[in-house]
Amino acid sequence: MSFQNPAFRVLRRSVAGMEGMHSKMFDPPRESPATPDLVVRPPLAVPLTAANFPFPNPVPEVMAAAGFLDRNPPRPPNTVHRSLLHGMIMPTWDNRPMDFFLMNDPTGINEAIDGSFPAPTIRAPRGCDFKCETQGSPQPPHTIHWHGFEPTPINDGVGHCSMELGRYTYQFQPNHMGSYFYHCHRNTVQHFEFGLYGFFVVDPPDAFYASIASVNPNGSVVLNNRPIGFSRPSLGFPNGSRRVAANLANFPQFNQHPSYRVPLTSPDPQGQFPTNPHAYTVHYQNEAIWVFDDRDIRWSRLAQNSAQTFPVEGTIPGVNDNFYSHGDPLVPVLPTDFFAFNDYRSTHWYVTGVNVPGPLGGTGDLPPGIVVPPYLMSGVSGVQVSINSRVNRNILVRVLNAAYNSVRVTFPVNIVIIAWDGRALGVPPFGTYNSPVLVPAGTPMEFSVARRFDCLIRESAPFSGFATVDFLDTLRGRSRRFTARIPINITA
Amino acid sequence: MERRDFIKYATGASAALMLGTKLPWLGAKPAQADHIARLDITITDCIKEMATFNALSVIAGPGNGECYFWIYKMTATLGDGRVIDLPADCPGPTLFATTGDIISLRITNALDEPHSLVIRGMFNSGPIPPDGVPRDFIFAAGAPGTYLYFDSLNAPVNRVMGLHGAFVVMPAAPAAGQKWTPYANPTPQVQQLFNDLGAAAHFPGLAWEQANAPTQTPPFRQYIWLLSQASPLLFRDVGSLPAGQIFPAAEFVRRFTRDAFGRNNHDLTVASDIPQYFTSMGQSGHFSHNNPVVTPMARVGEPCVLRVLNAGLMTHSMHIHANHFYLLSVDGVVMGAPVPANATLTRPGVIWVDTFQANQFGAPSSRYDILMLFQRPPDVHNVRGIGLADAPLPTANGATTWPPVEEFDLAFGNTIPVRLSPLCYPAHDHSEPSQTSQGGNYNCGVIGGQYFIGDLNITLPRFNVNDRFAAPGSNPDMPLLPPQTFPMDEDFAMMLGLDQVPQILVYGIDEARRDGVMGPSKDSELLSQTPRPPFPPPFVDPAFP
Repeated sequence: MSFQNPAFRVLRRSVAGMEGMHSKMFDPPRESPATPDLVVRPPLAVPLTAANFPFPNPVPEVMAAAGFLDRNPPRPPNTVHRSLLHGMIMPTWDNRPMDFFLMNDPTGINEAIDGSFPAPTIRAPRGCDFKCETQGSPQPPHTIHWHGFEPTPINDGVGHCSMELGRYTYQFQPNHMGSYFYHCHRNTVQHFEFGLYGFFVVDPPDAFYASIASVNPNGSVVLNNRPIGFSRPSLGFPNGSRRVAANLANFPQFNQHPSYRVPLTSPDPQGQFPTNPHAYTVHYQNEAIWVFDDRDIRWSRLAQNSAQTFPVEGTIPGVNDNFYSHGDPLVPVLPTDFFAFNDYRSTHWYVTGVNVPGPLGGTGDLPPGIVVPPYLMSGVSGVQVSINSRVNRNILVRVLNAAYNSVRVTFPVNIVIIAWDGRALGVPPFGTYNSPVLVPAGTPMEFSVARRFDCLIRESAPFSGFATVDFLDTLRGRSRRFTARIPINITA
Repeated sequence: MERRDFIKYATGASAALMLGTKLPWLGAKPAQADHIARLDITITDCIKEMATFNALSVIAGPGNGECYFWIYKMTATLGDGRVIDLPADCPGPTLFATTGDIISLRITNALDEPHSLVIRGMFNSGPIPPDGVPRDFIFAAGAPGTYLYFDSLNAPVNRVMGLHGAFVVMPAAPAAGQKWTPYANPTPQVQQLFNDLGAAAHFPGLAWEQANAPTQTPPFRQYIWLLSQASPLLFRDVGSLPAGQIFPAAEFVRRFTRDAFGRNNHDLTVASDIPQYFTSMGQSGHFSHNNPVVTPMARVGEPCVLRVLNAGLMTHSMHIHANHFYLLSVDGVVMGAPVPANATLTRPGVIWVDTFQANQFGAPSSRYDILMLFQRPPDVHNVRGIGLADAPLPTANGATTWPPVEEFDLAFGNTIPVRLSPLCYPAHDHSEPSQTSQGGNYNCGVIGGQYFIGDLNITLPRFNVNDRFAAPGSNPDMPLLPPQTFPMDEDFAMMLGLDQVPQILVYGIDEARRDGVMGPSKDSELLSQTPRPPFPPPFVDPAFP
C-alpha cells in the first residue's frame, strides 16, 4: 500500500441535480432586490408610547442633530449607511504600506466618510427597527454579515445563503443587549482580514430616545441636555445613566439595586415600552472597546485584487468549474499570482485600529489617552481604548477578537465577565443556566476569532498598570507572535 | 433526475453505525436493534478527490484536488449474519453505542508500518504489526460522551494522516424522574436545560428525547462535526516512503505547521506543505454545507445535540449563524457544576454563545457537546423585542415577519436559480484561512450550517413548491413534504430524503442498500414499531388562499 498504489479511490460526490446549490457556494448570486418583508413603522414621536413599538432607529437623527452627519434630517429616515471600499493604503508603525479595504458612512463626517479602521461603530437601542442601506463602492461583490445577530437569511448577509451586493437595505430588530460586530462575508478570508468590519453595540431600549427633546415636522430632532447614549432617569440616576445588561446579584460591589433585577417581561412603569427597559441592567461610568486584530503584510502586497482567487461556475457545474481564477475567466492566472489564502502569518498587530509598534516576537505598548471620537461611535462621547478612570466607578470593557488566531488576554485587575457573545450571563430566561464570573487579576484568558465578552472593573484604590494581549499562532504550536500592552490608569 | 442519487448524496459525508445490543435511547425493540455483532476494521489507504479541482490541469495528483489518506475501512457483521460493507473514506464511520455495550472488533493492518486504534479511557489495541493478520478485540463502551477513535502511534502522524473517526456513547437511561440528557451524571444546569426543552415558555417545541410522528421528526437528534486538515504534498511524501520506514514525527509537524510560505498552491514547485484542505466529516464547501448528515436540518422547536471533535493540528473558531447555542460539555467535562466559591472563567455554567474555540486534538478545549436550540431566529421583528418568539409584525406587503414568506419566494442565481428556502444559514470557522481550498476558492473549506426546514407551529398552505399550482402529489419527482415544513425546491427536498426514516440510524443502512447488500425496507423497522402514518392533508391558512 502506498501513494503510488492505494487500496481505494474515493470519488468526489456528483452534484447532478444540485448544480445551483453547488455553484452558489463559491459563485453566489449578485442581486440588488427590494427588501422583502419591509416593516413599516409610524414616524418617530416623543414621548414614546408602547403602542407604537418597535420604534424607528433614532441614532441617525440624533447624530445629525449633534452635527455628526453631513445632512439633517437623514435620508431615508432612521437608516444607517455603509459603503465598502477598496485600495486604502495606511502605513504601519515601521512605515510599510499596508493595503486596507474599509467601510465608511457616506453620510458621515471626517474619518467616518473617508473610511476608518475598524469601520465606524454602530450603536442602536434594543428592540428598534434597525435598517442599514449598504452598497459596494466602487465595485461589488460584497455583503454585510451582522455577527451575533440572528435575522432572516437575506438579512444575515451571507452571499451563498442569499445574495451579494449590489445595493440592499438590511433590516432586523436587535433584541439582545450586548456586543456584536459586522463584517463583509464575501471572501471573508481576504475582506475581513483587509479591514471590512466594525463594532456594533446594542444599548438599552431607551438609549438615544432619552436624548431627544422633540421631533420637528421634517423628521429632524431637537436634543435635550442628556448625553447621547444615556438612558432615561431611573432609581439612583436622576439625570439618566449609561447602562448594560447584567445580573450582578452575586457581585454587590457594582451597586446594581435589586429593583433592576426584574423579569425581562415585566411591564414598563412609565408605559413607554412594552417591557421594562432597565430590567437586568446596571449603570457604568466609563466604557472601553478593545478590538484585537493582526495583519499579514505578504497578503497585503500580493492580494490587493478584491476578487483574488474567486472561482467561477463552469458551463457544466461540478465538472468544468474554474477553481483557478480571480474573478475574470478571460484573464489567465499565472504561476506568480497569489493563491495562498490558507497560509496566514501575521506581521503587524492592532488594538481598535491602532497599530501597536513592535516586531514579530516583540512587545509593544498602546499609548495612553486614546478616545474614540463620537462621529465614529454613533454619537456617543468618551468611549476609550486605553483606560483612564477613577476609583469606585463601574468600568465596562467590551472585547472582540478580530484577529485570525486566538488571543490570550490578562487583566492586571479583577474583572467580572457579565456577557459572552452578546448574551448577558445569569439573565433569565435564557441565562438561567449560567452566571457571571469573577476572573482574578493575572488570570490569562484565551479566546478565539470572532468571540466577544463584556466585563466590569471597579477598583477602590488607585491603580496603574497594563493589560497584556498575547497574539497566538494556533497552527504553529500555539506560539506567541506578539504582545500588546494596554494601559489602565485608575486615579483617586 | 434519480431520487436515488440524492439519497446516496445525503448519506455521503460518512457512514454511521449503531453498535451493541441495546439502544433504549432510540426506543427501538432490542431484537431489531441487535444489528452489529462484529466490526471488521482494516487499516489501509486511499486517494480521495477533494472539494475543488483544477479542470485545466491534466496532471493527476496533489495539484489536481486529490489527497492521499490512511483510513480505517470497516465491514459490519450483523447479528443475523448479514454483512454491511461500509464505504472507504476519511474519517472512518461514526460509531454509536450505549454505555456498557460489549463491542467486538477484528482489526487488520494492511499498511507497511505498525498502527493502532485507541479510544482514550476505553480501548487501546496496542501496536498492530503490518502483517495483514486479523486480530480480535473486545471492550465495553464507557461513560457517555463524545470520543475520537484514532491511531496513537508515531503521534501525531498516523492520526493526522486520516486514521481517526468519531465514537459516541449514549447513556442507558435518564436520571430518575428527569428528561434525557447526553450524560450519565449531568450537572443541575444541564439537567434543567434539557428538562426545560419543550416545557418552559421560552423553549416551545419538542424535548430532545421527543419524536414527532406527523413531521417524521426523530428523537435524540444529534450530529457530529469531526474537523480535520489535510496537506496533499506532505501526505503524498508520507505515502511514498519505502515499506518499513517511519516518517519522523518532528519533521511531519514542522512541515505541516511551519513550512515556508508559498504564494501559489497550484504551482507545486513553490507550494507550501501546510494544510490546503479543511474538512468537517471529511467534506468541505458544498459537500458538507448542503448535506443533511453534516448540517443540522430541523424545524423551529426541534433542538439538536451537536458533537464537535478536532482530529487535526490547528485551532478552529466555529461560528454558527441563526441561533446562539449552549456549550454543554468541554473536553468531556459537563459544564455548570460545581460552582466554587471563587468562581473563575472555567465555571460560568452552561454559557450561550455564537462562536467557540475548537483547539487541536489533545489540547484543552478541543472537544465539545453543544445544544442547538432551533429557536426562531430572535432578531426577526416581533412585538416586544426581548428575544422571545413573540407574535410577528405585519409587513408593508400584507404578510408577517415570520414565517418570512416573501423570502421563500425569492429565487436567486447566475445561471441556475436557487430558491431561498428552506431558511439556510452557514456555520463556519472564523479562523478564516480554513475557509479556502487549495489556497483560495473561498467557501470551499470547513463549513456546515443550520437549516430551518419548517416550524413546529406553522403549516403553510403552499405545501410544496412544485405543487403550488397543481394537486399535491401530481409531480412524481417531488416528495410530499410533511406538514409544518417550509416550501422548498425539489433538489433540496430530495436531498433531505424526507420520505426516509430519520438520519442518524439510516446512514450505514442506506449505503448498504445502495450496494445491494440489504433488502429494501429494513430501515423503518429499526426505528419504530409502528408503520409511519400517512401525511395529514395540508392546513389551509385563510390568510394565504
